[in-house]
Amino acid sequence: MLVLTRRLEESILIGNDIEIKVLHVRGTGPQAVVRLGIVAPRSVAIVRKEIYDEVVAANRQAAHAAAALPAELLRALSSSGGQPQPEDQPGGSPGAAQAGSVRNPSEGSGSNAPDRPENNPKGSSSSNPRGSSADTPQGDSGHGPQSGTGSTEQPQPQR
Amino acid sequence: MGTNWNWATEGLEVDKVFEFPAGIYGFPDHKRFLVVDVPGAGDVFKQLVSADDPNVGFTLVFPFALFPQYNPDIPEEDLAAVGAESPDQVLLYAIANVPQDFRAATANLRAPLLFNPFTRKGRQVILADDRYGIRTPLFKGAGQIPAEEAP
Repeated sequence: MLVLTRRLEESILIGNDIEIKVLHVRGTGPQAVVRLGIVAPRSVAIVRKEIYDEVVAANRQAAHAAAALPAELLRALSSSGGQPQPEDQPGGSPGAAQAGSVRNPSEGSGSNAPDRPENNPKGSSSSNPRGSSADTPQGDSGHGPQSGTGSTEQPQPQR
Repeated sequence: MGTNWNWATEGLEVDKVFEFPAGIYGFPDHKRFLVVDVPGAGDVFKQLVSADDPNVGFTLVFPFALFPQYNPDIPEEDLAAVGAESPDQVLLYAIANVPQDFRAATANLRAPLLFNPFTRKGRQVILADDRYGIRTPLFKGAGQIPAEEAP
């Protein structure tokens, strides 16, 4: 592993078009938090590694468990009034979606969906390069264009 | 296709093959997958089986059927990767993890799969939106639901 020491506001370049800049440092020792700003082409995926690792682990676990759907699950789906109830849809039948063709992602989500995080604009269409800042553990991993500084904390995930 | 096919294969058609140029996270070597109907599940559940190894497969759930408020923001570059220009050109499914006790089933709403039925390309996308969990329970209060038949 290449190890570099950087001060505040200093950057490193990866290739010609990826820049990672130290924006903010606070705390010391295990509590230290570093805020990084990243400028990269939109085609470059940027994701926190722990999220990536979690997705890999979830996929592997799901693949092992996917051998066959339990008959009870299919029964639960086909009985509209029966248990279990699908989330946020009391009395409804998820099987209703069978009636039509599969809806696309922009439909079926309803207009009552919670607001998007402000720095994650719908259908963002800005061109290269993008800027984003990454912070641990709460900063935005950044797909939308945004300034490198002053990004707000994300809302807590709804589990 | 292998002969040791242990997946539901009804409704299997050649034109349901999707190419995943980037693979699926954790399975980078599997580039082609079949979308297989699950008898009785309609479009709510599907199965996705690797064309290279039928022992690698996933259960897919149509998330909008179970999570009406699910509203993922698909980055433009991910749409472009499957040859789509807008979200209404792709189908979206989540990978479900269905254990023996189905009441504990979860869906990965953070990293859904995109399918472009026109280009036959697919892609798994990790969303920036951390409101969506990697293991979101499919059924609310699953612990309180009595099993119809004791396992």
